[in-house]
Amino acid sequence: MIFSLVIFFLVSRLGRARDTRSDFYTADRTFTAPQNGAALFGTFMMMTSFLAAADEVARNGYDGVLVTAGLAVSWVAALLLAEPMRNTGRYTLGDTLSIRMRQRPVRLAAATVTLLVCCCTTTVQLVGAGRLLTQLLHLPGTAGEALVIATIGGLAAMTVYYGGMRGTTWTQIINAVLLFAAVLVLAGALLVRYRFDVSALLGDAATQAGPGDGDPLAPGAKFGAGTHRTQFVSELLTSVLGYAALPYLFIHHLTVPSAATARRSVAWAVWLITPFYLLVVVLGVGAAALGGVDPRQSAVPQLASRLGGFPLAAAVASVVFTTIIAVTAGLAISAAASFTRDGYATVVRRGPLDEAREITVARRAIVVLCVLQTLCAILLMHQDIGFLLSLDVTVVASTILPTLLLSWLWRGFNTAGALWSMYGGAAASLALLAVSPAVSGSPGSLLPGVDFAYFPWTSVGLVSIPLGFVFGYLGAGLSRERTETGYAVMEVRALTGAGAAEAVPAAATTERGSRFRRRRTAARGDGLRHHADGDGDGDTEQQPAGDVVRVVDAGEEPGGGDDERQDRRRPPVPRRQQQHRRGEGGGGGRVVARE
Amino acid sequence: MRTDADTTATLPHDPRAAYLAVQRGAAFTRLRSRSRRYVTAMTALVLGLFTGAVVVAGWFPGVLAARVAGNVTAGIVLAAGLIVLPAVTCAVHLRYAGRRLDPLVERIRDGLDGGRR
Repeated sequence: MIFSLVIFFLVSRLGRARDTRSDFYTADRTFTAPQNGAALFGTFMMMTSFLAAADEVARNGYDGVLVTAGLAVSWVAALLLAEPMRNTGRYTLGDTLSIRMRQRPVRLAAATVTLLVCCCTTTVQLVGAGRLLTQLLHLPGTAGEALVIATIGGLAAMTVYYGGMRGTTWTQIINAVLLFAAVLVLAGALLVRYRFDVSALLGDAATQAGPGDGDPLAPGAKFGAGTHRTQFVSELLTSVLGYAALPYLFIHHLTVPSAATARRSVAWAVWLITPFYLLVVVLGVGAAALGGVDPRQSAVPQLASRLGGFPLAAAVASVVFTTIIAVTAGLAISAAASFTRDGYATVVRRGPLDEAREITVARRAIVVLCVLQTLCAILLMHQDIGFLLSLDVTVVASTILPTLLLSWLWRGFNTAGALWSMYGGAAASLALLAVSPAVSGSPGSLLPGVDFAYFPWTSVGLVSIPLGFVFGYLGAGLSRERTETGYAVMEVRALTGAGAAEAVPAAATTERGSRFRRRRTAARGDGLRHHADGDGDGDTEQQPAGDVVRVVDAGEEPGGGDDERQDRRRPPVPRRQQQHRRGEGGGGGRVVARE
Repeated sequence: MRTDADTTATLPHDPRAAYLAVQRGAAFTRLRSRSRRYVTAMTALVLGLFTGAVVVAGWFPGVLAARVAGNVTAGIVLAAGLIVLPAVTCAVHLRYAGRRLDPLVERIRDGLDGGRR
């Protein structure tokens, strides 16, 4: 509770979002690499990747360690995706894809996939958090659990509503620090107890596992015979490929001033994650060593109460609490951005919204989404819905990943291909999962009573990810649309960052910043309306041409208009400013402040 | 696309055409082949290592059950290696991108600006 009050104080000081798109969705792209790296780490360390990873190690021994390693290795994919993501991204997946594709259909598809993924994840997080905190704090049953869920949902909604991406990111940074400290303390206490003798620790874990369970220090627990083995391989590969493309992670590649900073911020996240995961493995082993784990509860809090009694467990509980708030906030903002820009603006309103209106809609969307998800979580809180987490990583790996890769790398890709790979990949993973043992036919499944499990594995990624690519290929082949120019724009932008959205200088709110912008516009003089990326299929032309100064003062215009402001940096700019731009590489906003 | 036609008609330098020109240029071709080669190699190496480790764990568990020192098994060492792998990859990536890719990117971006000036 105190933690969350501190967070709110800090968020209100550091992160009041202004009502511009750039600030609300991406904090004006002003975060530095270490800050953004910490935020990435804080976003990633949600239920699955922290608590569930430790549980896996505690319960499944060595095979759980492999799960943890899979999560760590997924950061290599994140590293490789970060730069093209930063270079071609604006606020949402739909923005990136509409550089090459027809806007409306791809935006709708992108919104569908993003919302599906974000809503599933949020609900599972909230349910898990409710259960965990109720146990830890000894709250009374159902009412207590519902209260915890509602509190988290409400706090996350408030963070995003007032703070936008800036507030969310700061919450995640604080969360990263707390989480790392908590793990450091726990692992430290554990290792001191064992006098840093890892071998003895492993030995205790091995003896605690009953006879007949096999050797927990060697593979075996999740690698059964036959299909079971392939199922585990599928699970691991899906997590390696899926986590990197999660929409609420890649929105963090957009909060930095340049691709080089995006690269370095992933590196920072990795510097944090490597020691963190080594410690998580130690914690998992430790939980097993100190008297086994109750399978109905999470391993880390049990370990905490064994090591330090109730105070330590309560401390861990509050860290978990802030973690869930930070992650839920991150999910809420990417869901809201996607809903507003890709869903509402293009589908319901059939045209871009003006900036103030868009932010209002986004804020309302956040409230509505958080309320809905809280209600969902309360309704589902006694169901075992853990499989939804593996579902959304699978969906991401078989929709967003193929679509992005193909649209960056393949000349022949087009709108139909993108639609096929997104809808097809999602349908394939959902359908396969529906007929898998995760849903029916085995004691651990969602509907244990019936059996329509025709697909042998609970993890379907090994089939659905290639299917996502195949659908993309087929769809593109069946449509005659060619996007050569769009491909050129996409490819050049992805690799060089030309025309990428720049950081908005910190001074932009002040008179000085806007004066600069106005001057820059005036310097162009010609009032021509450049339209460099294929983004707008005509949005730009809806605005009155020529009145550029007004446009700039009103901030970014919707849809295609966004690009306009950014393109103004590339096309004819007087040499004086050209020089400023040179030095801009990593430094971002300061350039303009000097001006 | 109506928009593009209109823009092209009024602009001396159509930005989209500029992108096409850059895409066909020698510097960009070099950047592309270099970056694709690098990304492919990196992906293949990391995924290969990971898949290899998983296959060994799944189909030859005996190898990984061997004790290396005390209760530390070969498998534990391997898994720790996998967890450290992204950090190594990052170090390599920062170095390669900084030295081999960024200079080319700079040159192309300067060219793109220069061409429009």
